[in-house]
Order: sequence, then C-alpha cells, then structure tokens
Amino acid sequence: MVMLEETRTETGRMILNMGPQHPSTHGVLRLMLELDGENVLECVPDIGYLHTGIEKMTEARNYHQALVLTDRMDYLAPITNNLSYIMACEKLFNVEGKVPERALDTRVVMSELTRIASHLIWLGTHGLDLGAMTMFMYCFRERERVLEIMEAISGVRMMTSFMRIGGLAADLPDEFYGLVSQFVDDMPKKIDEYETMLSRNPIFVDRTKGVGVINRESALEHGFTGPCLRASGVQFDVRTNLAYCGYETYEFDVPWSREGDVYARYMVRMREMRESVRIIDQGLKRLRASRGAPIRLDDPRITFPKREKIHSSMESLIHHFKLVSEGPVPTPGEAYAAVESPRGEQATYIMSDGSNKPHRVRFRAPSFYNLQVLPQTIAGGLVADVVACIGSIDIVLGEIDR
Amino acid sequence: MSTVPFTRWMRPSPSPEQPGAVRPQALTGGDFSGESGVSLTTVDRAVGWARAKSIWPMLFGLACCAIEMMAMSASKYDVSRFGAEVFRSSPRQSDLMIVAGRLSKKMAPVLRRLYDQMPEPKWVLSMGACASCSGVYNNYALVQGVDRVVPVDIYVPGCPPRPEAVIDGLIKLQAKIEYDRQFGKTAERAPVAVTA
Amino acid sequence: MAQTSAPTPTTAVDAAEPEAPPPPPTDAELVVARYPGATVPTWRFADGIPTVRVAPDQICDAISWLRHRPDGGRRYDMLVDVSGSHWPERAEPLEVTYILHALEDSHRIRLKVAVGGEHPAIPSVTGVWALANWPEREIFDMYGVEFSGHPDLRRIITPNDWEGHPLRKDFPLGEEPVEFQRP
Repeated sequence: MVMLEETRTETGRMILNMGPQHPSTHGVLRLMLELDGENVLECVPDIGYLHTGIEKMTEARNYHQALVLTDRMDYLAPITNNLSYIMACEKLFNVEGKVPERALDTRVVMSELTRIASHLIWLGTHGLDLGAMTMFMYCFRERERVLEIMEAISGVRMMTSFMRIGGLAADLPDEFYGLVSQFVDDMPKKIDEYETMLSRNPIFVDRTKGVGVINRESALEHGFTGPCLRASGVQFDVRTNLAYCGYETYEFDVPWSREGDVYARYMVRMREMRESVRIIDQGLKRLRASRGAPIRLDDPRITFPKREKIHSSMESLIHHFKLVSEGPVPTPGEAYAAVESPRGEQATYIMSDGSNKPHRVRFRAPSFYNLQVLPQTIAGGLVADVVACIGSIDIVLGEIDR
Repeated sequence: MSTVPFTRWMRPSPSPEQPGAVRPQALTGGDFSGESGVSLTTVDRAVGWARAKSIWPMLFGLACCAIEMMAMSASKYDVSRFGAEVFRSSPRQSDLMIVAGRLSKKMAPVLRRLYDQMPEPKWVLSMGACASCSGVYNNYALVQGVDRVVPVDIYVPGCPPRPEAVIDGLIKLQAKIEYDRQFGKTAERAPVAVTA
Repeated sequence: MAQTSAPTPTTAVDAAEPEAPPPPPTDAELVVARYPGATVPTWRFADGIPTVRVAPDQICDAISWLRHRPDGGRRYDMLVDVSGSHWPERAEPLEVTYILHALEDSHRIRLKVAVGGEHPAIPSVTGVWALANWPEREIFDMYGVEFSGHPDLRRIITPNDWEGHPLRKDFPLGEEPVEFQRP
C-alpha cells in the first residue's frame, strides 16, 4: 500500500496510515489508526480525496441540467440521488402530489432495483474483504441483470438520469416487464444461495458476530441512518416513516435487529433485499395494469411539450427552446426532500432565490454521517476488524466528499 | 484474439493474405512442434509479446468507473480472457494503472506517488470522461484530466465506459505494448485514441 | 410531516363553538415563546417543515431542549442534517440550518441561525449531539463559519493548505475554458 507508513511513538504505540489507496477502504478513504500491538486505540478518518464540487456546480446549472450531476454522487445507487433531487424540485415548483401514478410506480420499482444492485455490490466486496472471494462473482452475476434492466429502460447501465421534474424521461420499454418478472422470480433463490454461503459459514460468523457493536443510543448520537441504524434497534425507515412516491400503498416489512454488530447489519441488508423483491413484484403488477397511462406531468412551466407538437407548432418550439436554454423558474423558497437510499436517508435541500438556477443545493449524504460512527465501531477492536467494520457500514466515498 | 497470433514474432514477413506471401509453417497458431522445430524472433518481440499478454493492473478505484472496472473483472465480462485479471493492490507489483474515476486536487499528489512507485515498464489507462478531461465537472475541485499528472497511454471515453469498452482499450493497449521498443529508455509515449 | 409550517395567527376562538379547546401550541411556537428574539421566517418553506430562526447564542440550548424536552413534550431524538448556505445580499449572510426528527411520530422541525461579520462564529452543538462534528467541520471548510467550542475544527474536505471557502458565493467556480477547434 502506498500510503501505508508506520511510525512508532515513544510509548511503543504505532500510527498506521491506511489508505487512500487500499483495497478494503472501498474508495479513497484514508484512516489513521493508532495501534498498540493488534489493538486499535484510535481511528481518525480523513476524507475529501474525491471532492468533486457537485454542490458548487449545481449553483451554476439550471434545474434540468443539475439533475445529471446528481447521479455520480452515490454511484452505487444513482436512482435514489436522482429521486431525492427531483422530489425536492417538485416541492419547490409546487407540483408534489400531481405527478402521475405510473411515474411514481416506476420510480419505486427503479429505486428498489437499484437498492438490490447496491446491496449486491456491498455483499460482494464485504465478502471479499472477509475472505469469501466467491461471493464477489456470484453477486456481480445478479447485478448484471439489474444493469440490463436499467439499460433496457434508459440506455445506460449505471448513470441513468431517468427521472424528470414531474415524471420520467420516457415510458418503459416492452421488454422491461419480462426482464423484471424473470428477475423477481429468480432473485429469492439467489439470495438463498448467498445465505447458504455466508450466514452459517463459521469463518464469516466468527469475524462478524460481536464485532463493531453500536448500541441504539450511540447510533442516534453519532448519526447512523438506514440499515445500520435499523441493525442497532431503531425502526426508522424513510419509506415508511415519511412515505414518498406512494410507498405507503405497498406491503413490505422493514427488517431490523437489536444486536448492532457487523453480522446484524449483514442480516438486515439480506432481508432488505428480499423485501425489495416483494416491492418490485407489487410495483410490476401496477405497471402492467397502467400501461399507456401518462408518465409525465403536463405543466408548461416545467415539462417539455410533446415531440410531435414541436415539429408542427412554432409556439411549442419556442416553449421548448425557452425551457431548455433558460430552464424552469420557481418561486423563491426552500425545500427538503428525503428518500431511503440503500445507505440511509439521502436528502436534497434546495434553496431558491427565484432565479432559474438553484441558490444552494445541499445533499444530505447518508454515508457522510454513517462514516462518523466508524471510530466508535473500531475502537478497542483488532486491526483485522477494521475492514469488517468499514464493509458493514457500506460507505460510498462519492457522496461523502461530493 | 485470433488476429494477434503467436507468429507475429516473425514480422516483418509479408502477411499471408498478400499474393506470393509465404506463411511460416512451423509457427502458425503457436505451434512449437512444427516441421522445422525452430522459432525465430527477436528478443524485443518476445518480451513484448510476454508483456502484452500478462498485464497486471493495479486495483485502484477512484469513483463510479471503479464499479465498472470491478464488473469487468467479475463473472460476466471476465477480463482474464485477455490476460489482465491479476489485479494487484500494491503499485509495486503492477504495471498498468487504470485511472477509474475523477481525480480531485487532494488526490492528485497521491496518484502521482502511486505512479512513481510502479516499476518500469508501466502504462496508464485513463478510464472514463472524468479521468480523461474531468467530464461534466469543470470546476475548482478536480484536475482537468489525469494527463496533467501522469502520462496516459489509452483514453477510454464513456461515463462510465461499458466493460466492453475498457476491454477494447485494454486490447489496443496490448497491441501498443507488443510493438513498443522493449529495452532502453521508455519511448516517448504518444496517446492512442480508442474509437468506440 | 404534514404539518402547517407557519403558526396560524391565533384569533379568538369562534364564539359559536366555545367548548372547542384551543389547539396545543406546536413545537415551533413553543420555541418562539421560549427564546426571546426567535422568529418564524416569512420565507416560503415548500416542504412543510416548521421552521424557527433563533439567535446564535440560543442554538445549543434550543437543540438541547428539543432533544430532552424537560416539559414532557415530543422529543426530537435525531439530528438529521446540519447544512450551511450563503446569502451575500442579506445583513447576516451566512446561515446554518439544523433539521431535527422525532422518532415517536416522525415529526420534523428546522432551526436556522444566521451570522455575519468579519469572523462569523456560532456555538458548536457537538456538546449536545456528537454527530454535528463533521457537518460543522464541513461548514467551516466550505463557508468559513467558526464553531466555538468545537473539539476538532479543521478542514475536512479540501486539503489543509487550501485557500478560500468554496461554497461562498464570492468563490469562483473555477471553470477552465475549453477550446473547441477543428483539427
């Protein structure tokens, strides 16, 4: 490791510098570990190695353009970034609640698909860190199927940018239904397969049970959200507590656990994938029934005119040109919109001063807060547990540094 | 891969497709036990062939492209078909740096240091729009293209590029490695554009 | 979250229904009543989260009070987000926003603090909530707001030798011009 330098202090303690280039830090995270032999006394994370300036960039783009920048924050689940940004915009433009049903259902199905894809990457790399190398190959096999669906929908594998203010970019293609229903049929069996490999694997269990324990109070104090918080015994899920996009009409459970260790986080995520499959199944039935229904709000302030109108009517062409070049203009105000991303509460907080560009866009990145808990999980543990803890928190540096 | 056979060692003989060309019988398809039992080549070609077919990339992901890089090495795309699956976590054991993602100004010195730690000969593949020219993020935080920090051999466009595109870039890099001068000072490397 | 954002002006109870009890004061109203100078901004909050602006020296106490609720009211047991913003044309240009969440009924409240001057400083709430540590460092990094009492106030995102605060409006975006030319 390049940045792995060791320094011995006078007390015989060692400062170990882990990262920013390290295969187990899941990106460019740097940890400074103070060690006494094998024991970790202190851990200080150093972030910012992937600072992209996304928040500053959005202030120089109009509301439609800024959407594209949001994909690349949480790059394991780009859909949820899009969704929270779009929901904040919809609140700002006062069109929340007017978005067509079919668009909402598509958003739900896509969010859950991306949750499965993200959890699969987490599972694969977490297994890889803990010596279960085969998991990586198995997980990427199923992830490719999710990406195939995404590609069928939007033409891109990862950075779909498929959401629009007031709806979606396009309607779903015909092959979507077949691909998703096959995926829904297969996925529970595949999750069983993963569980066979890991859940009772003695090596995996020994390295995860009782490691990195965070209790309920500490989780709330230091800012866990998402599966990590639920593994510590707090039943908080944005999908049920602050339901959006019609999640309240779906039937699903929110898995949680009391243990708060690495194994509990693993179990919560595994069960979450099963629940996601359930949601996708319900959403798919609705989407099948609502074929042909509108997918976008018809509001001339925000949404583009129909393609055939642009070709035939001069007013529509001018309208389209104005919306593309100038962008929609909201009334001044602020809007905060949160979604449950695979890592926790992902939110966008837009402040507008009444111009065509956002005055300030703040992204509440769940990993940013979750990573703060890492020193608490590691303290007192062994060096080998560090990678287990990092893996169990499931951070994405792209959204931490933004 | 059948277009890059073992017999490339024998160049510059005229290619068999040209009229009047003589195909070296003994060496077709990598067959060592041919009629003559002799293979002739230069050390330069032999080393180039070996280097090109045993690339060890560095396991070094920056951002989104790293996920596609992982997908490239995983089950479906399986880059080991092209002899580049041994991802090493240490720069001292690797000879290809795949810069997968955007490079911030805080990370740039680290990247340069990693590059300096790699042993010669070494190559750099700039994966994706952000690494090549910082993509959509033209702002204060990012280095506008990694070629300002390290010399780049292959640029692969895309945001992120598909695994096939990266594999294509890798094959083009292999061709470049094979026909480079292998000894002496590393030649001034001219960037090769990968067209989609 | 389906709450009325601004406290409705409490007009006299309608004479026709004298027995209807007045609605209990919302938490936003309680905060306004508790802290002199605290106001409800007349700004539009499109998300419906009740918002109160308090003075900088009241913020620690307000957040602590909302978290522990000695009066037995609704406890806000999650600090969801701490974020900054810069409004150069305002008298107090730098603004810090805290969003709190109550687990018992998923209610949210937003507190705002504005500060200006040569060396803007706000008391740190890390004493009340440890999770404010990193967000406050981020705001210090991005906006240059000092958080007095913060245990470890240094840059978090940008390199240590960075000059300026990137998210301030006077910091240029730093775009490099791209020349498009025919080869």
